[in-house]
Amino acid sequence: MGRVVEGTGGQRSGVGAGERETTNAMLRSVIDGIADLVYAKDAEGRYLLVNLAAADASGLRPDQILGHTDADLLPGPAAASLRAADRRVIASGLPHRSREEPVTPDGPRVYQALKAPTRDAAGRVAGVVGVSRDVTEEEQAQAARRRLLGRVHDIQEEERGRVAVGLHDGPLQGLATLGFKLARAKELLADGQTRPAMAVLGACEADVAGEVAALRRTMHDLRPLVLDQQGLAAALEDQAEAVRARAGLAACRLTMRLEGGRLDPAVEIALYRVAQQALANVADHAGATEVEVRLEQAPAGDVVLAVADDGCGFDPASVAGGGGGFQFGLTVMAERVEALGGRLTVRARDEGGTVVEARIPGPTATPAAPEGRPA
Amino acid sequence: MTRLPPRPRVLLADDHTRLREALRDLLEETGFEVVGESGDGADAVAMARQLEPDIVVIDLRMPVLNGLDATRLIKDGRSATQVVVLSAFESPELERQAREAGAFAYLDKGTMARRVHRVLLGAAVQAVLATNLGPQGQEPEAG
Repeated sequence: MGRVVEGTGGQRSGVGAGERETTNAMLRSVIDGIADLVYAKDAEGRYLLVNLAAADASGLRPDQILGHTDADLLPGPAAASLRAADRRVIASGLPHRSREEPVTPDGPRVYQALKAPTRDAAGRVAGVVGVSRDVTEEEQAQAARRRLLGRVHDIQEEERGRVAVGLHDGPLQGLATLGFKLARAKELLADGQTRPAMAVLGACEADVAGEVAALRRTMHDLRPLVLDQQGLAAALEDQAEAVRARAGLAACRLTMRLEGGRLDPAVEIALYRVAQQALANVADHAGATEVEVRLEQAPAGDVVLAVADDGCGFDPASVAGGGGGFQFGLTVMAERVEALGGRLTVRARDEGGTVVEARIPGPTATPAAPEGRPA
Repeated sequence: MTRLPPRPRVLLADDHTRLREALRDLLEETGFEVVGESGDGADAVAMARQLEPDIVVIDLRMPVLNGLDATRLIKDGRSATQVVVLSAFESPELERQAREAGAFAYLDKGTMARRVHRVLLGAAVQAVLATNLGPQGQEPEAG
């Protein structure tokens, strides 16, 4: 560890050498306890002090740093950049904030540095003292957050587009059709053709029932009310039955073991979407005859949702990146699970078919709900 | 509703079959003759050339060829044929583009059947005039 420059305050107040040593030792402990890089240099850029964090970051021992300049220790451009920042502080006599991007033994890092001048007894600038904070991970996390946010917006817009097309092709056409039929019924009634008019009105009635059913399906796809009201287990039962009927599956078995009660709403909706996407993949791509949906949580344990099918399996290349809509669906599933600190895996079953498994760390049970599927 | 003798000949182009059938039944009931039906834009253009209807009622969003491009081709083939766009979109910009493409009128699918009928009668009159006298322009803003 480097020398701590002796404080002038102690000398002025006439404190003894032993006490100064104690003070220095205490200051050294404080400085070494700081996670940020702390250092002091003289006017020529020679290191007078470095704390343990600064030495660790450079990959050198303190004694290999003290008395040396950045030019002795770092590649040319990096040293020049640090020296320029130091000179700015020395020339202005004012503190200065800067962003530094040195290449360390651990690779490129990003630091936010605050440097201030040190002064001698006559008040002249004698060097620089600095504190540099490693913000590499923070900046990477911010960039990841920005990317994720952009992706969320993209997904939201795609979803809205799908809803708009659904409304265009469904209810809008249906209602326009109904309008023409009602107009025709009016014409027929005006002509006294009661029987044909009644037939048209009967068809209108059937159309209305059809449109209501279509709207209900759209609403359900957007957000199943049963999920909010009765929980994930009930919503999965509905979802499995719908997929079984749509894809003509021989069976869609559900195994539910939720010992911790109702799950956190964020976990419920995420797992529901994973199941929805996985089951859609089964229906559209797998050519399966049977599907098993398993939802388990031991008390305070991980929540596990698995969707297993006996279909044609999957092409690992499509999971690696070239699978179009299938790949997009997997990516969205994985992001939803990872957002909750969990993990999504897709693997081939030995006996044929695919297993999609989402595992979200517990405890995620809310104490208010007494059981997995309240009546 | 007014009946126009002889029955104006109409081609219907819409990929929504149920809507097309309902409109066909209504038009047949109210004095028009539906001479053909099509579910895509390219087919509608071919049928318009073959059948030479007075009026083509056409949707905008259709497979193969969209309604705007189909309208241009139909008008290029026979300018006397009047094209009435019947679209799900209520959009002044789309209406402007449809009129630029040569459409006689632009109606959204929420339009009351009574008004659809009135506009088609206007289109039928325009088709007769255009056949006998050459093109006379488009329908003024129908209210």
